[in-house]
Amino acid sequence: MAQARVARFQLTPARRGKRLLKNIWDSRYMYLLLVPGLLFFAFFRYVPMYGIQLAWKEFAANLGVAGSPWIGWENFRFIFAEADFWNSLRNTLIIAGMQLIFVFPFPIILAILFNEVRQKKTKRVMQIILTFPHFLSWVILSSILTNLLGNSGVVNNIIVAMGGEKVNFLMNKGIFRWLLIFSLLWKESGWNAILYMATITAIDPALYEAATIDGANRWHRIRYITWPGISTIVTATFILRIGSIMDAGYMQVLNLYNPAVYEVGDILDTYIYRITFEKAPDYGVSTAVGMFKGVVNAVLMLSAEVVSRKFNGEGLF
Amino acid sequence: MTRRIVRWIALVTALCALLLAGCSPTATEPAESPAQTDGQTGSEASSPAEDGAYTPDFSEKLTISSNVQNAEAVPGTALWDYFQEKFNVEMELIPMTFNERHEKARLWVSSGDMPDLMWMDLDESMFAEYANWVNQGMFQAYPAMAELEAKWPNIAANYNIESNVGDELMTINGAQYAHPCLRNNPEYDYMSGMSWMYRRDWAKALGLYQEGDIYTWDEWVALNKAFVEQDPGGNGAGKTIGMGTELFYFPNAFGIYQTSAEYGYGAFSPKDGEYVWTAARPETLEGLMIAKDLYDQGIIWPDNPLGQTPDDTYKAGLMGSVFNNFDVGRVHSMRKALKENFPDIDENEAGALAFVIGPDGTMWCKQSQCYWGAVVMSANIGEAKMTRWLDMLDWMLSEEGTYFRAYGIEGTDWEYDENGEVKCLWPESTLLPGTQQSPYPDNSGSWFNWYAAGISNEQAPNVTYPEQYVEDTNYKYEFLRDNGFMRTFDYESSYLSAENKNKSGNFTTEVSDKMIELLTTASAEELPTLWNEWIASMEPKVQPVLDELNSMIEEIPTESEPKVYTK
Amino acid sequence: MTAQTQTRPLTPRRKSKLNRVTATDVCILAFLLVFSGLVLYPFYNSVLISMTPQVVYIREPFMLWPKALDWSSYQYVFENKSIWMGMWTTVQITIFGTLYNIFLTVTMAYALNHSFPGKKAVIALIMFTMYFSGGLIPTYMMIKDFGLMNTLWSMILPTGVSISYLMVMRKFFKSIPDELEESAKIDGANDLTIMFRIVLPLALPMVITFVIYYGVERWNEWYNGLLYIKSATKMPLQLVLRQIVQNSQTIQASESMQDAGIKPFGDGIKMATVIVTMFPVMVLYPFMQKYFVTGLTVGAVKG
Repeated sequence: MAQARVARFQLTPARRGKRLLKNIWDSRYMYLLLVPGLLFFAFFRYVPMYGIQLAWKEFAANLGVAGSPWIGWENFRFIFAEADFWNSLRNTLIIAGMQLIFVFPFPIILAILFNEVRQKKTKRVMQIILTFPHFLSWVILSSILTNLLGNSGVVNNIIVAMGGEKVNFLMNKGIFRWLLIFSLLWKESGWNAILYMATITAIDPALYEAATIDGANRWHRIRYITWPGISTIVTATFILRIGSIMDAGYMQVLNLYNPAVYEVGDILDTYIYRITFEKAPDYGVSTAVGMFKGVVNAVLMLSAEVVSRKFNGEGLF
Repeated sequence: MTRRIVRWIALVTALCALLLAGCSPTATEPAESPAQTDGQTGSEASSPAEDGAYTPDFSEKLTISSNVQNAEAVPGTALWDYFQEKFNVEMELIPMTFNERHEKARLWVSSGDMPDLMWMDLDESMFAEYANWVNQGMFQAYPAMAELEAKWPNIAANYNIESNVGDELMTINGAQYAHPCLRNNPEYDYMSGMSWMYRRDWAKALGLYQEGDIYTWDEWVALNKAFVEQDPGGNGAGKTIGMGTELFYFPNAFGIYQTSAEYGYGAFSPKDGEYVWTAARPETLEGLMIAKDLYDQGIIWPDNPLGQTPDDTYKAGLMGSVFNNFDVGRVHSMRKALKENFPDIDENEAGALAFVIGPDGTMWCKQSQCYWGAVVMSANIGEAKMTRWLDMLDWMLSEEGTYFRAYGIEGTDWEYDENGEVKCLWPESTLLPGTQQSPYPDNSGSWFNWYAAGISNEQAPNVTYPEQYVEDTNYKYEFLRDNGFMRTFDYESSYLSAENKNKSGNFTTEVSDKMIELLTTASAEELPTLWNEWIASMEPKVQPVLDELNSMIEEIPTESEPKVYTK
Repeated sequence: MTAQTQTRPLTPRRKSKLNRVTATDVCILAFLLVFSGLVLYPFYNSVLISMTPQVVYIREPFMLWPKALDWSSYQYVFENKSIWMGMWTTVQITIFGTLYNIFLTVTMAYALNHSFPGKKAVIALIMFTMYFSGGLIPTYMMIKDFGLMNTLWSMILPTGVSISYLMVMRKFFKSIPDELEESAKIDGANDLTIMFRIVLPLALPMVITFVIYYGVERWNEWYNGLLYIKSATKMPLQLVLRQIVQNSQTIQASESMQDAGIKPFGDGIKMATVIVTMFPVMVLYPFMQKYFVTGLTVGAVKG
């Protein structure tokens, strides 16, 4: 195929070149619009990119990034040899998968439900309330959760008062992942719903009117008007979420977990944090892990793109 | 489409590879300067003391940067203005928090952007890196002892404090690169304050109080069980907690410290002439089982592993006993809060210090390491700034400077009375009769103490502490020193810098994580098996470190002989 | 599905369906109300903690109303100079940062929604940076070499474009009918005029959404400040708050810190700080909200 392409190119090089120049000239405003953004990427993302080489190096402070000695694949070998690394990788995938199934759709559902509410004032107040928890940091939330779910917390007091047995919610391997899911759902759903609510406002209200006159019920309106109106954006956010599957909520886990649940709660980021915080950190190793995460994320994202194109007719790009 | 994007990504990756190669020569620049100073440090150390007296010269105004906790609270106080004016310096304070101390030090040193003076915590986890950086020429050496004695005698004297066991270890390539600050209680052989505080008033109410606050292990457990079950404080059913401790000491405080006599050594301890992994010793499991029993009985604070501090809970009157580092500062903070929260109680009774004999019959105490904190100078600091820093440091360590750090400015905050004794002029405290209150905002003194040294009670008594608090704390130190068994701190094994040890650390976090996991999730029957399995699984990682210790440390210490205390 | 509707048309209420409150409406409203309540309680609890003495809160963490009132936390916060300085820094970062972010995002997203030679390369270059970065030290050195160290710009410029937002924005532009642009082009308008006059007004709900997202991200800025800010007077608000929270947690862990003059802060102060930092956002949010609750719609413009 590549050969065919080259051949075609060679057939009419002059015309092709001219057309390219014309295309470029026609798109001059697009290039102009791109300049500020590209400058940003060039200066703030590509200038430090030379740091990637640390993944194959052993960093020495006095030699700098470029001068530090090459050590081949040693950093990768070191990290892949750790049993805890694989455990945390597994947890990352499981927790991110659970987030995808349970947390990802919830803001969409919220937005759709809000669209069905006609009490304007109530709706606006509720929307504001739902964004509140986004402003509480995980540090603060973890102390609130301890007050609620700890051994002497509210929930256990209620359980005991009703004659039940105390449940150690925060140190229970079976419960911990669900705790992550629910706390995330609780904290970010209202905030993430803003995007979908904004998308829904772009839907022509006349469509709803017409549909109602034609006898469509609520479900039909959602299925045939609201959903098509937001599916493009949902596809995009879904693929983006898959493309960041290796990020399963670093700050959240770091603040909520404890040694009793490391086995089920330790994700890649927290694992790296722990091995580099307690001991001499190895910038080489952390760069190597970053590379690994990037590659996995990129591969997953491209796969999601391909699958989405095949079954959904559109993807992210 | 996707295929084309994949192809583009491949192209971009290739471009980046080119970029990497392209950037290499320029990227070396920032790191070059520190390396050059290696020679300079040599000449500095060897310059002989000048003849005649040394007179400091403050004519040039200097700006010196240094990192400190609570930087936002320091500027603007009268003390700070006085100090900067006196030395004609402008101090640039770079904020950091205690949590970030290691990360920031690493970032600054690695990027060649460290402050002129950098406060560091040279604990075991940091020391190997510190030694590396010294060898890489990142720091400026302090002048040799002869020069210090001639020009800055107070600094020299500070180095020469007796029983300052860590100094030898801290000397690298024949020079000192760190000024030691914040040392612990030299008067009690660096004994750490680790001990119990408990509700003596509750013990008396329950009829379980023991004369002199001395408890055998069984009495102690029974007392705490009674706290939980009988609720002497009237907190309501299920609300009173037995024992709690800082996460740092959890669960070691509840049995493991008491059974494993070698625990004070840290992660590795001597046995039959060689180092073994302390966690793998049978005594550790024995102690863990004691803790497990206490946990299952509900005597230990169940939320302790969540990383909450026990102090707040104790201050709120919900806890029977707490294990922590009870130096006079913490005793003061606990008792003062108890007094504030419950004005009717006697805080000395509610926050009494206990002496608990372990199951093995010993009453132990622990030696804490010195060089808890240290000040290093950037290799780029330059002669003028270094001299000014040494002048400032020397003054801060002098008698006048010590009073300045303790009380403030002479004439305003303190004066010599007719007998030549120092008298602090701070206002009386309204809460604790007989004590005085600092007129300066919180933390205003922290830079001085962080960068110079701690102040002992003999140098300048802390006037905010009621006498009873100080007496009780000192009595505890004396009693433990005379009757207890001191677990000495093993500098050799803790600070050894070797390839595997630097990479794997000393496993203390892994050990306590595993202990917490088993304590909270395993049953008492399965715990020993799970523990032993885990110990065995760690073997391949631990053994190389042990091999390094055993081959590199020439004189392996002998096992300690616990001193049994009989009531 | 269709079969189901066919059995139904006999219902006489058909015409007024949009205006009638049905059982489903009640269920939806009830569900949203319950969820709002679940979300509100912990937040309400934080408000209570901020106005209750520490000892009362530790003894009774679950409160429905304040058991004892104590305004000292707020007093501390309002007397604390660093919180006010942090507030000022953060306001500047938020205003300039959000403008900068939204400008870059909108221009890029608009351009990338059109075809031009080299577009794939641009997308690939951008996506690459989503997955690979130079890491901590090279980034730090870059800020230092650009002379941004210890300036507000160090907290604004590196934020630039969020690639996720960029891609979503681009998708949204795509959903706007091409005919609008084409007819404008026939009328002789150039690309920039079309963008500002026709497309952006239509995309206003989305632009406002990202103004809110970016705005709150900048408002919550602390990480760049942690790395690059070296004087206490320039710390952003969230960094000040983080220092307060951290200082209250860590002193206990270390030996002999008490004598160094470090005073722990109570939970009340933490919560009071959170509420003070949230306040401006809570005030501004309803004004933004109208753009995506009753915002301009495609239909409205068309009509």
